Amino acid sequence: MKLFFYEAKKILIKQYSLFFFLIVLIIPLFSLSSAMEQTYGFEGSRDKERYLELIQPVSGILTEEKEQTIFSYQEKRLEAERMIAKAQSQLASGECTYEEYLLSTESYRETAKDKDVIDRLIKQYSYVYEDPENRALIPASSIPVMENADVDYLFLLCICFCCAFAFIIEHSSSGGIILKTTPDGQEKTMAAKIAILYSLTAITSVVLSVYDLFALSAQLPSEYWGYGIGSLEMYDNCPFDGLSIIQTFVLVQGIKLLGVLMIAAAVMITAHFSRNYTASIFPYIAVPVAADYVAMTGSQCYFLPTGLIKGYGYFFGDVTMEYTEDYTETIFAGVPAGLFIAFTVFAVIFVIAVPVILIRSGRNRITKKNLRLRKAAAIVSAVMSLTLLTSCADNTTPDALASYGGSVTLRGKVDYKMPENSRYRIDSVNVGSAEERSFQLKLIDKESGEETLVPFDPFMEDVALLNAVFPTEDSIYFIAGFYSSHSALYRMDLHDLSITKLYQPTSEAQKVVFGLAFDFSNTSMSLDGQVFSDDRNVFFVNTKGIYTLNVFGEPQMLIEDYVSDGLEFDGRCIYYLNDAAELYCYHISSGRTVLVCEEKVKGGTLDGDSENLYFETSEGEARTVKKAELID
Amino acid sequence: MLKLFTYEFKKQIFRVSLLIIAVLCLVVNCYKQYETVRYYGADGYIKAVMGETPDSEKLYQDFKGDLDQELFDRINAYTEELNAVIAEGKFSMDKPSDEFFTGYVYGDLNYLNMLKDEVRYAYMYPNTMAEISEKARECIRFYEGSNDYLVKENELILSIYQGRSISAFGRYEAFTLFFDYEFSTFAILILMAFVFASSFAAEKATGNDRIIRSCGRAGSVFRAKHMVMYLFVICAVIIFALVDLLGFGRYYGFEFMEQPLYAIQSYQYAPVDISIVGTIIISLVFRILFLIFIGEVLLLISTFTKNIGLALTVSFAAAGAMIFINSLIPEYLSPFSLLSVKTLLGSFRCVNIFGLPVPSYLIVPAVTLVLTIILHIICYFRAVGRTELRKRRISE
Repeated sequence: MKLFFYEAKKILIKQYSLFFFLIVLIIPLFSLSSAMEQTYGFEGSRDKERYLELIQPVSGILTEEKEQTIFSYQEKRLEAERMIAKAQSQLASGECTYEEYLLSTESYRETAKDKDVIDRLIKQYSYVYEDPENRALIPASSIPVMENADVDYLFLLCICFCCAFAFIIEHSSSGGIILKTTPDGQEKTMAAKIAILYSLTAITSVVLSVYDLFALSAQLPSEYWGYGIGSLEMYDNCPFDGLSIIQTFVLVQGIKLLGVLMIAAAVMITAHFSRNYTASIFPYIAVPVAADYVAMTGSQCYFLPTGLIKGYGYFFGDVTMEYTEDYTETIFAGVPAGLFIAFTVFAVIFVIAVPVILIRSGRNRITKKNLRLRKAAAIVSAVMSLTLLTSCADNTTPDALASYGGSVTLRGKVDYKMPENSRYRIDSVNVGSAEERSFQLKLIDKESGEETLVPFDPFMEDVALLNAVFPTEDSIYFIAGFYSSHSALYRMDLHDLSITKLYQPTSEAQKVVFGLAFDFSNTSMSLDGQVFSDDRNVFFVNTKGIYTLNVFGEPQMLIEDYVSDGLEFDGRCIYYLNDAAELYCYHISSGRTVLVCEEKVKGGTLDGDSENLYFETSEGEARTVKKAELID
Repeated sequence: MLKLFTYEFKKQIFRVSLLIIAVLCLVVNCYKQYETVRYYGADGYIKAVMGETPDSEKLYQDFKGDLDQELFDRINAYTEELNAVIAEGKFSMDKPSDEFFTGYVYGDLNYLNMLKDEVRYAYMYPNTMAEISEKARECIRFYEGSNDYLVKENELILSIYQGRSISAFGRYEAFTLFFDYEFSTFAILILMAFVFASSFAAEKATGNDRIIRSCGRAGSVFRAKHMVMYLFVICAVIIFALVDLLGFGRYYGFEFMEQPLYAIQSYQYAPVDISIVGTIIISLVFRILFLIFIGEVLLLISTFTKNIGLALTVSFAAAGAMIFINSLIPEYLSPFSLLSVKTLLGSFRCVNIFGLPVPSYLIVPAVTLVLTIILHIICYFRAVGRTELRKRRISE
């Protein structure tokens, strides 16, 4: 036992293994909160909550009653859309007032918003309907934590280095020669060493699995864990019948544990016999890395024993994507169950056999303290700290009060009031033909009346759409493009009239290096509403809510609400009217939202200046609210 | 020096283990090429390497070549001929006929329409460029006196894009895939980690570095190691590039290499007026520069420790960290942009340097070069600096 503790102290403390493994355990903690997120594929929390609300009564094994409930959701939505269309036509023909329209469509508008949610439910229902015996309706068609088969390369590096170091270091000292003279030192130290490294690897793997379990519990409530794995579309063709979600999760974690123990054993045995760091570390890192990169369908890497450290892929089976009725693409080619079983048996034998071989041929040595290691550890920690720091970048919006002096009110899509301090009036001019419209911005100097037609970048497509033009004292912000899905957000500097593209939604990853795609947020955002800015922060509105551009130039949702018929911005706060005719104030620097008026507010009446907000309640009463009171 | 270089070369490169790994990398690279063709290559135009030649390839072979009136006449004549056959109804939908390239009249007509789109790009290219030149002229007129930078940038656009044309109709699938292909660089990177991550660490581990320093040869050894790294990178890049070219050429052929880069539709706005062969050479230079930068990082890491294992582990961790950092910084500041020609030569991008528009394809190599020199200097001071200084002090 004394020997075990001595070896433990040596490996864990003097050889810094504890430090390295702690890093492996601490780093995922920083991303655990994001890993625990379950968006259910919806952009905002409203849809997410509504989805959970609607799926709750129909979840589980499919019954006739549940089917009827799902169909009733669909009918209700269609009915709501019909009623809204009817009310809209009445409003257009003057048969009702705007207030009456709001009142009569209030409940329908809420139901109509469920379109995406109900479409998702129907899609899930259709999937379950195909094989109701093996599939259940669960509140998630996919669970990210059970589909992410990425290798934890930091863990892999750590295992390789610590195991190789523990076995090779003694060869460089004369401790081994001394130990040989002791009656039982040799075998026992070897056994202790293996036990410590195995335990360390196993404990780390188990703790990482616990992290995954937390993520699983956040992404799928535990009452659904007992349903068949086929309930998840990714596991549609799982080669192992009868497995439940939790059984698959436990099995995968077990396989991953076996995989990392196999790598540890392989490194130990290579290190022991080769006494060469390169031979002990290089192949066990290079092979999984290369295998990961070579695989186009993601399955090739599972055809090597190192695939065990990824785990999940062995349970996927063939995963196909149906683009049209005739065209289906295999995005993951399933791994034969026999091969998986063979690898598992091999790994179990290997993990047991290696300690036996090592103990029998053990050559013990005592390490001397490696002072140089401190420096190397500093480099590793510096690299890792840098990674940590960069991943913890601050995305908060700075207080915009200082730079902006005026106040602006946006109403609907076309009627906007320009800031008084703007030098220009703005107009858009069609410079193309009647059939092929191509717009340019026309600036009209308020003082001289001089008109300037601003040319766009030579590489820019013809601008068939030019909207959401927003002028400030120094710039003009606008959305332009050939068609709406190709639109981008631009900023024109009014000093030299140069135009800069600020953001363009794209479905493609922004950067791809060695097959790794980097994408910091949802870039498939639609640019179909208003834009406003204080020259420091740029905001835009779409049907989901109000967004700002973060430091990476990517949209970040500030307010999740449907903004309709009224928005007032003064650089410090955004005052907006939602589709329930409620007036809210959003304080930019604190992120606080306050209800401005208890009563409903009439659409199109919101206005403001630097001190006050003016609006009319639905009863027709004119109100003035001091902005300062709202902020305090 | 040459002796030392030869010794270092033998020590680091002439190793059975390296040979085995290099062969493995080449084999895996060939597989990756096959996968790349399968997923990203245009199936219809693949050459007959694994069986029967696709029908569209036969049609393409018949129409490829000079872009002149004769080609248009032939395409139009064949379209009319096919339309006449359809009008007369003298064709079979069930049995393939030798009359048609694809065996079927509608098959030929569909492929011919696809072909027309591609021909149209080449034919209309001078017009597209004329439009861009006109827009650039308009911008020059507009910004004259108000924004000098934009005037200079548009003048540059005008000088680059004015008067461009494409003289032949062909397909460039092999080159498009080659330019986008990164795996060979990745394989070389792995080989470099194997060879150079332990370069200085190995000497420190055995204490040889002290002997070398006491002999006053630390500087020579440092230079020899770097020379070996440069030579290794150049040879590896050339070998892998040849394998890649042969690999993709095997599927799609090597024709039209003399055509300008912008003959490839995805390089329509290429900011340089060079041929495809020229672009291949430039892409090799970019890759060499990038890998030398990585080599300097590896050698620098190996000067910090005498533990080879740690040097190797840190090298891999550093590669991961660099890839991550690359995702956060602008493309024109990242050496990783040199990996793909598409990033630098796919579109016109300029950086404002003291009011001068400098194309990003010049900025990235320059930034990489500066970073490489800085790393080289730090590495020098880590590996030999103190000894050399001490030597100088003694001689003084």
